Amino acid sequence: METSEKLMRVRLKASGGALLAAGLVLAGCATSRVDPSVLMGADDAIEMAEAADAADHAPLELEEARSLRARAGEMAEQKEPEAARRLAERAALQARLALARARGSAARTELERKRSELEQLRARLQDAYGSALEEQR
Amino acid sequence: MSRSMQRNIGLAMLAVLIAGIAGCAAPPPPPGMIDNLRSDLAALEQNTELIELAPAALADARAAVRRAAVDGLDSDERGQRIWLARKQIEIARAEAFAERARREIERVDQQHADLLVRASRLEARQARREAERAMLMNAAVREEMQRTREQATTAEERREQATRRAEQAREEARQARRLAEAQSAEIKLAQREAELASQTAASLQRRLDYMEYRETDRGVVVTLGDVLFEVGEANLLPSAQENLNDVIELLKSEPDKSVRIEGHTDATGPAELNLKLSQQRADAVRDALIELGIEPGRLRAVGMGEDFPIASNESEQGRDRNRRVDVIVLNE
Repeated sequence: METSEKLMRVRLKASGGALLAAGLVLAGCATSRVDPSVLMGADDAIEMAEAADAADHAPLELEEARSLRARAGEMAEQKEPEAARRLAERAALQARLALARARGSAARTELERKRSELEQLRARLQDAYGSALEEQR
Repeated sequence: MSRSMQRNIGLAMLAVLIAGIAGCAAPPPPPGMIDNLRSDLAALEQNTELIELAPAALADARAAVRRAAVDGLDSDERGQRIWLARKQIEIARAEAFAERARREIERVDQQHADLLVRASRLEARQARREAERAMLMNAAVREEMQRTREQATTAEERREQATRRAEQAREEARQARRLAEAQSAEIKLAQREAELASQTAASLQRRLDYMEYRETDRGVVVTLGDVLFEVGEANLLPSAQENLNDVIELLKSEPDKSVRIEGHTDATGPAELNLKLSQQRADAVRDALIELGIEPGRLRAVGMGEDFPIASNESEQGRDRNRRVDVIVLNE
């Protein structure tokens, strides 16, 4: 449950950031300040993906998210808030993809393990009880 | 600075201004790119079995496609939104695959538990049968001995029989003990079955734990906290959909029951305003549930205002708890 709370927070931040950014765009079509919550949203999303072992289970996706985040940081330093915002938004979503793929891959690994355990158990019991195992009930 | 230069600068500024205005009010989206995006989404939605597994992510993807298709974006922002929408579609697919694997794990766990139960049952039955057979054989042996004794004549034969009788009695005691053991194994087995059943129930319970969830005379009540809304606002936060996933699961598991959605507020501010806000919030939750696939006919949204607190309005904590939406799966 902890992760879903965290995801909620990430989404909250990301949506707040998007709203603010949209407001700024409407206000003047340009601004020189980078909204820090957009960058933080990307950081949180990457952190969550890392916590879900994305480095092992979805390394390419995670690497892409980190690289987008790094470029967002560079754009922020160069006072390019629009470019920074867009890159940070992409980094956050890329990290969510890494998270989803990592969870999927971890689940499939666990599934394979459990399936083979089940087959081993079935074979052992077949030896012990033969057809009675299937007939029962 | 010469005059012509000044005029040139003026013209340049005008050009920049026009370009700026043109940038803010850009033309409608290029149809090709948006069509591609929509057909990606449609391809995902076509796989209904898969996509039911990740309703929240699908809703996100739909919203992202809508945002990418609105009029009046400059080409940078259009490109951005198309990128984001494409990514949301990928995320929805990935989450659905992950969920499918998780459900498959639950199924395998269940099969594993079933197999163990079946095996222990066979084991217990076999042990009991063997014990019973041994007792029967003993009885046969005893009858045989009885007959022999009746026919026996010599003292030697009688002595021999006495030894065998003693041996027989010991054997009977051993077998009686074995039967008792087999019976106690069956009791243990029953306990184990109950344990396995309660484990399955516990995994559902864990999912429901982080929602406030209680059984009442009216039905099961799920309380959604005000984390779903901005303060004083009736629009659902994007994060709310995550919370609603579990509600959806609950509602889908009871497809025949009507659902009452009650909005409640704390006692801060004018009562009329609270009544209105609570109605709007209940409506927002209803609309979200409809969007996530619940049949509209089952849902009724009611604003209850501030009159039904579940905690004291004197403390901040109490007020937090009073601002809520109850989703009630009605018993009928």
